[in-house]
Amino acid sequence: MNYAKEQNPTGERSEKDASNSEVRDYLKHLLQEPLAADAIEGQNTPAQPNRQQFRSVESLSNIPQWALGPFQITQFVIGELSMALPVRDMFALVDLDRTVLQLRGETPDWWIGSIMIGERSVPVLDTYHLVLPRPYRSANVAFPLERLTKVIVTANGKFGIGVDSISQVKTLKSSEVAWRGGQGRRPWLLGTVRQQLCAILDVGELEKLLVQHNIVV
Amino acid sequence: MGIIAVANQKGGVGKTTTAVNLAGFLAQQGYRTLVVDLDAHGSLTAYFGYDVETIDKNVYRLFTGVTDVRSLISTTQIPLLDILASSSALVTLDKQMGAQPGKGLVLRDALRMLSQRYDYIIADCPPVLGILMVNALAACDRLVVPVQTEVMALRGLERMMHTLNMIKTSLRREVPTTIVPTMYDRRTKAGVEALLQLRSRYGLLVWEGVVPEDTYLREASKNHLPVAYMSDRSKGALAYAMLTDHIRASESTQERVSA
Repeated sequence: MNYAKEQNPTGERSEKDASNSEVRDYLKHLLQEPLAADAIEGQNTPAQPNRQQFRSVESLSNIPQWALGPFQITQFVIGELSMALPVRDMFALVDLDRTVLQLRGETPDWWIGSIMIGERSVPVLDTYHLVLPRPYRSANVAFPLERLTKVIVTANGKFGIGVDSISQVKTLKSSEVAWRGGQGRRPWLLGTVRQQLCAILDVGELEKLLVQHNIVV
Repeated sequence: MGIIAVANQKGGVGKTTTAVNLAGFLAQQGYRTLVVDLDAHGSLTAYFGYDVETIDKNVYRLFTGVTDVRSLISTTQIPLLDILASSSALVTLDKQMGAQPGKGLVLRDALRMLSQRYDYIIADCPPVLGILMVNALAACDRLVVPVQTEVMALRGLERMMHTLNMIKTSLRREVPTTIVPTMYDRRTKAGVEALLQLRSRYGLLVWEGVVPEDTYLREASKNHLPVAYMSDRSKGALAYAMLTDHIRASESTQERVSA
């Protein structure tokens, strides 16, 4: 039976036609190959409103190339803060139910130690301690090893970010983020989700920090 | 590596039983086999003793950023048989992802990483057309559609075949399909009529055998074992053994044709 050609007795487009056409559109989107999708998305991008055209070149340059189209972030809670990582920068989520190897001596308080994943030693950061200087930290927030439950391992597998809990995965457009692009005193801050004031972390800058402290090479 | 999707938009037709028992026979014959549970209800996951509410290594994570599918696989008590478990969070996927471009290809891309590790992958689909069924159909080389031999179930099959045609058009390729009559009771007139209707309507797409009603299949499910490991002489076991051979033989024919 050819559903596409089915018509009701009055010759009008039937409900079934409409529903088939919706399903076809749905499938077409879901099954777009990534490269083709990018190309089509570029072609179909509507003209930006005038307000957008006056955005300074500087602010546009803060937006990473990958964030020009829709992108996803994973939001998590750490201490009392809500933070996020772009999904593209994540490799795996592992339970922190394993031994954390800690080094004695002078180490930054945001480095809680390393865990073994397979045969690899992965340093784990506590970003609550990293982003909040000591005077601003809440007395209600427990020590990292008492509250962290999971570790997000970054895409290159070089380090992990400890989290208390995962909140949600969210799809954003670049206009929903105030982009920082590594400027100012907080190079690890890629941007802030405007509506929720949730900090998006810059994995590249965090890695530089770890290199500076000889935690990763 | 062969990827087989077991799907039907109607529930309760024997999808999970078919997935488990195909996988069981393949593993018993020495093929490294992975089952993938794409149904948020997690019947397949529960079959192998895992809980969809708590299992951390699950297929949902593939859609939320984990790129290495190998880190999400769990073993089962059956030698050579592993599982990529379901998660109750899968129910949120359609809402989260909508019709984002390319999200129907996540499973296909992930399973490609396993081509050296498994001989067969069997995906158990949810009974709805959504992102998970589309992923399974985009990833698979062959589709197995279990159909209860009952007249009402045939209507559901019509819908499934229509959906499949639309997906094939979007994929721009054929998906070899085997319709498997299940829960067949030859003592009832309704069962016999439904089987005849099925064969007259879908012809060669319908497997020549039938999976009969068999208490051993239920017993096997209760014991969390594929029937191959319970009673390989029961009617249900013999049927699934024959179906496994049929699928293996069809695959060899297809390999020869495409070579």
